[in-house]
Amino acid sequence: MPDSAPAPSPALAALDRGAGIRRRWWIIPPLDTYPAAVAFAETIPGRIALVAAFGLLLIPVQGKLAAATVVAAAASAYLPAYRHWIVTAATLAFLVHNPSWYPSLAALAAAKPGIAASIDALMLQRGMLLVFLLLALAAIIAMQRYRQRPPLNRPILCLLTLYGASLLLAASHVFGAMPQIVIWTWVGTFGAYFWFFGYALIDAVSSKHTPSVMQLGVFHPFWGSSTTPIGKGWTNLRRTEAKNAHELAITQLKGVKLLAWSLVLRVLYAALRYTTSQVLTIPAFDQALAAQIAGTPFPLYLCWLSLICSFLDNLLTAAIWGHAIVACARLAGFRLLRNTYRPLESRTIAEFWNRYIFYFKELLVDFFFYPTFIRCFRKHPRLRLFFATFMAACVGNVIWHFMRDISVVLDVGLVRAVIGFQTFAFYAAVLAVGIWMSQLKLRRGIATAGWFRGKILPVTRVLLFFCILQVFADENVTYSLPQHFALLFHLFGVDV
Amino acid sequence: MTSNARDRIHAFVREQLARADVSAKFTDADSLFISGRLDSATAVQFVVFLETEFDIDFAEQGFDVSQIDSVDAMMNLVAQRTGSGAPA
Repeated sequence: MPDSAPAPSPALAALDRGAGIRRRWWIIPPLDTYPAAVAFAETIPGRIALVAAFGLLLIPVQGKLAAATVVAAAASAYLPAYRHWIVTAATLAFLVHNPSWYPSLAALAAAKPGIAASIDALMLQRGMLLVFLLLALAAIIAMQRYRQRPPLNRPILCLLTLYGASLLLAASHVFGAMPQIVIWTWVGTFGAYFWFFGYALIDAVSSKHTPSVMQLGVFHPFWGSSTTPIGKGWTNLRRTEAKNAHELAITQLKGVKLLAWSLVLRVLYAALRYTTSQVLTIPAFDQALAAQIAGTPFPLYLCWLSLICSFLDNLLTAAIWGHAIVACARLAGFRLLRNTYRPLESRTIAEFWNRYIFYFKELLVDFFFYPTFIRCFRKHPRLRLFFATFMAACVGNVIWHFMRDISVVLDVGLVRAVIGFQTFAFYAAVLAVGIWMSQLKLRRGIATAGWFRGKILPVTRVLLFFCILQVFADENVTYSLPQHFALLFHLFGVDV
Repeated sequence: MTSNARDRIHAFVREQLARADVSAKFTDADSLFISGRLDSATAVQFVVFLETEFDIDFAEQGFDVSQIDSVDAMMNLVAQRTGSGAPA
């Protein structure tokens, strides 16, 4: 269960009393469970101290931007009557300050030979962003009014179709240089905001209470995100916001704790990187793959070490990045679940997937799994579960990564980019099968008896599965699937 | 009808919490999924349970995890399906 500052009243009551909290050594003290600390965080001096401490911890992460983030988050936290509008205003202000949080396809398209280079790519991107936001606003209003009418009753399918058509148009090269650049800029902007837009449309279906303009306030919210919305849309944010000063104090203390933990992990990460690459000279996984393909593979033990280090690297990177973002949202008064929560304790593949990158998994579940599960193969339970899992963990996963790396299409063309995604598609398919089997096992119940059979063995199996599967988690379109298989075989001592 | 339905939902929630190794007590209003107590894999079990036990068709009415997030929320769904008004 992810650390959520869950806030159902019994849980909070237990925290207040400090009941059941065993005294033991902590790297970061559980401040949110100390009644005195919580009470202090509810006072004005306590709030000033808390916000100042958070700001100091955020400087190594965000640099100059830390002050602005902390001010916006504190305003959102301490002015609950205006919280939603403050979040909206802060997000739009951050966007004006940094409209280029996603790569500019305008610049890339203009840099291609044969296409006019004399354009102001940044201005074009800003203009396109404005157009996109206005269109999104119009779509949200239409959705709120006509949500039962086809095709608006299938918003994500509509968005995917529109994006696919835009991409085909951009990749077709049927237009002149300038229109082509404009279309690529549209594709880049649409892709960057695709999943935010998706959550806004779902919110528009499920609730009439969020003003349309406010929906834009969580399009890459000020606390941060990638193209995956951390915190999802307003529906989820409303459910998770602190309802009173006491909940707010606990939520913010959890935020401080999480940010501190993120910094501890940063130090650990730097030490790990230095030790593995400088002291032990373990090659990066890309290097191991390149050496294998060049016919000069590294020794077996180095390849395994490289794979394990790459796996740990990914886990730490996800945790460090996600913790800082969730911490900022918590400071702003939203009791968001962590993005990464103790993945190394997972006893099933599905559990690991849930604990590793929570909001990405939620995105796939919300946009692909549930819509498929409630509609398809309802009379065939196993097939129903498999198909929905496959649509999320494989199809949705591939679509998300393809959209994130869409600049590859500009580099190598649409067909070669699609073919180049074969390795990642294989990874996603195996992952889907693994999650499906793990869900079936979950239905039967997990063996919990014994330390070795109940804990060590399942955890080892899960980590081994994800570590080995890491060989294929490669979005780079340069190397083929057989080349990745060659490295896998090499890891088991078989050279082909 | 409603108390019987509530009992069946209670029993199912208890079973799923135990299966997920979550021992915390819950009230009818407590969040099961949005709070992080249970995950989306378990949500599937709830969907199937409500479909089979109460003949609820999510394909027809749409699905949002908030519809099954608490015993009260599930009782609302059941009440809508059976047309029995507000749940007891």
